[in-house]
Amino acid sequence: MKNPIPYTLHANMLLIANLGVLVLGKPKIGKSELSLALLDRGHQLISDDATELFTKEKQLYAQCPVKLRNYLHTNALGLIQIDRIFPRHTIPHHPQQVDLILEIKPACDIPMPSDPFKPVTITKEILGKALPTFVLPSTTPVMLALLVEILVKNQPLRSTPCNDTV
Amino acid sequence: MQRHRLKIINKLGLHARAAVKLVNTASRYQSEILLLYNNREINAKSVMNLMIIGAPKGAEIELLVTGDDEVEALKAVTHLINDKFGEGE
Repeated sequence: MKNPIPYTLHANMLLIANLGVLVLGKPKIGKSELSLALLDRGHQLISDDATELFTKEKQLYAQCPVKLRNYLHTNALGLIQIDRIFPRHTIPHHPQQVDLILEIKPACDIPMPSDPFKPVTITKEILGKALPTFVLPSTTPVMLALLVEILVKNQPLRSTPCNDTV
Repeated sequence: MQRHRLKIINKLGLHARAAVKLVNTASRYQSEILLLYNNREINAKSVMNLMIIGAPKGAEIELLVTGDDEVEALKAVTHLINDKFGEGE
């Protein structure tokens, strides 16, 4: 059975310990930096910035828009090709089930948890599918060491032979 | 919330350079600015989002603007699009 036409949302999609995690948050909140840190820890990025979603047999599935495959963008580092920085990373191209949602918000916008022994959890509905959503604060400062390492690795000077501009 | 439908009228459609101008304009405002087209909900402040929109000349898009400065934000984005992103054609 062919997959339904997907709806695209502004979101990142990751595979963390075999669970499909959709990351929501306003622009510049840190979704892409978070994704880089998780990539660095060995998890998988399905899509950065835009995620195609559809429901099938009452489950929500996510995939990367074809044009954005292997790309990640942050203002600090510009455009990054994931396979150049994380050569051992494999991006599954088939749709992944979304198991939970993370919403990144400014810390001041997050309510106090009703139960301090549990993370702040709400339920969000996407395309009619309700999923547990954990609300996490946007943290500063960023993991600067990781960003610097990726910035340097991303420079074309290292990988192009016979580069006259050096 | 402000809603407004309009057409992309410049010759090259919502291509990369136009998308960057849109991001720069949208990012000046505090409001959330969404662009709806072809089953895609595009956040106008995010450049990668706009790269996949593929809206050609003649495409009808819908703008959804929510926030304290939504009136000014919608006006600025609409003006940019109707001005053909300053491209002249």
